[in-house]
Amino acid sequence: MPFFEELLTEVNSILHEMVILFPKLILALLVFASALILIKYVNRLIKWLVRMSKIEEFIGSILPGGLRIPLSLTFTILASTGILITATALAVRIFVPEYTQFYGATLGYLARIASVIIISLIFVFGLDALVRSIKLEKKMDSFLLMIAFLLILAVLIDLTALSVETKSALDFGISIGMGLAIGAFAVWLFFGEHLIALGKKQ
Amino acid sequence: MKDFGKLLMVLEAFFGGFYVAVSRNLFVPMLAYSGYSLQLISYVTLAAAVLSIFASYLIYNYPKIVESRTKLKLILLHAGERFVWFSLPFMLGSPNFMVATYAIAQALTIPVGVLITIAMFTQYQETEFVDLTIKRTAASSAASILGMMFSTYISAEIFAPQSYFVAYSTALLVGLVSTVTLVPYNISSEIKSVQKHTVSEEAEFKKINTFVLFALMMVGGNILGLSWSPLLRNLNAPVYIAVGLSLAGSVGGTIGPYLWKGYKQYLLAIVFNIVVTTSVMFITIPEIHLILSFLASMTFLGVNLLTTSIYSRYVKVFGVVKASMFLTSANAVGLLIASFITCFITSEPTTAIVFSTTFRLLALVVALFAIPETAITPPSITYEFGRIVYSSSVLGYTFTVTASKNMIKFMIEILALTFLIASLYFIYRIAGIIVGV
Repeated sequence: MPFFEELLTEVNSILHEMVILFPKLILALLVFASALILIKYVNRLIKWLVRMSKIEEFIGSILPGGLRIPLSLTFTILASTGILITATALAVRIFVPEYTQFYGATLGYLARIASVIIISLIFVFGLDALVRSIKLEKKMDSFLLMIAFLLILAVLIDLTALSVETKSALDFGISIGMGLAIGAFAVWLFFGEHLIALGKKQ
Repeated sequence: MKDFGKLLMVLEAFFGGFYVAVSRNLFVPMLAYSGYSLQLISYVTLAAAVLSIFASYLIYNYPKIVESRTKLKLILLHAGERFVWFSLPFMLGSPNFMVATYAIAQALTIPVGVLITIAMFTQYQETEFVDLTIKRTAASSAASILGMMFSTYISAEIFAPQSYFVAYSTALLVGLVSTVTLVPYNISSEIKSVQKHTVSEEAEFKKINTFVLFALMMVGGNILGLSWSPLLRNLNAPVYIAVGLSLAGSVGGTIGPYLWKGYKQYLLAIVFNIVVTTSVMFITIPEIHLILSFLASMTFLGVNLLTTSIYSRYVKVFGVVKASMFLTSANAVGLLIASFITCFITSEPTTAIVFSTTFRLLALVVALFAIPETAITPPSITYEFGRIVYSSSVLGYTFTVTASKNMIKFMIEILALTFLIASLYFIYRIAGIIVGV
């Protein structure tokens, strides 16, 4: 029975592969388990340090209402991400050392996504903090939100797989649009009442 | 039963006196002969004084630390202190560990001292307490003569650093005997803080002013202790004279307690003490300094007995823990100020002794005008002067504590933030190395 023999050889080779992989699997699991335990304690430490440093109270005294996202959460996310990246890199090195470079490149791309997310958050929360601290008009608030979204769009384009020419053309268009919008807004803000009065006269 | 308790306490002082004499008196020479500079030695004592004051502050503000399970805590800390002191010769190679271990060793003496005083206060009051203090001081001084003879003999017979190990292990064993004598001593498991809610103004003045007097004398005593040996070196005195100072002091300490009786005599002792210690810088014949050390110790007991008598009279008003705390922490305050002066203001022995005399004279002024028991002025003037000393010292204390508290809080906040950022940097640096970026 050649089929049966072939199947047996295949099963044998799979089992052989599994035996070779087993210690690596255990090691990788150990790495992740240790990382998770470490995350738990590091997070506790970070929360304690943030509480001790009283940095949130300090920011709260500058910005009315404080930050939308608590600093302890931001720092714990940063620390947990760092530990997870390290654990994954270790697992890749153990399991598939030949993919280490690929993992590095992937991480580079992920870092770009993360940077876009962080920039977007800074735009949105920065704007929110500005609105809360200087109590802007509703219209002004909406206009600034629109500008923030356009800025986010500009950095998002950088992540897409479009050609360089298309990316620069889109960025150029968004920049001109933003410039015109700011110009129009400034005209309305400074000469709005005068222009309305002029319109009524005519 | 009460006499048996007294006997145990005197035995504790006797064996403890031997252990203290060996471990404390050998400490500075051990550092000096192991290559520690005078400044490094001053840092070691300064760190110890700061930690001791912190320990005093903690116990004073949170008396519950020593109020419950007093006996167990006393025995554990008593034994622990001896083990920490025993570890000091092992730290000689690393000055940083030496600073930390010595600070812990000195800080441990604060709760031990407080707990011992509490143990005495709970069983004996007023005259009985003063009587026990006299007996304990005499026993401790007698044992310290033996201790000093022992450490001198060991230093002469065995080469360093082996001699330090022999001396400190003997001190540990003898010190542990003093711990054992505390085991049958009767202390109630819960000490009630018997402080009255409304302390009379007079008692409050007396508490603070007596502490000011004691602390000022302790500053003077510590400055003299730190600068006497360098002064003798400048006079080209042989080493045995410097070593003999402690021995002569111990002999004086044995006789002193039986010499002074009553407040007026305590005051007289303080006056004599100032005269004797001031003459130290004028006498250039080294051998006479041994007599001066004998007289200085003998007369210094006047201030010890004065404060002990006042605190034992008012223990019910002040509360056991706070009265004990004041008696114990004065030395820490004295050591701190003395270390500051010798470390940062003057390292010249004669100038340091002038500082010592100034502090003692200030103490005498407080005794003469602000403490009713020893005052030479009519009660109304004494009361007014007492009020001035009280308010200026409390104001100074409040200002210093508030400023230090804010400073420490700010330092902790900055440290926490720095540590937070450093941890994140560390995590990402490790990640970068492993990823290969």
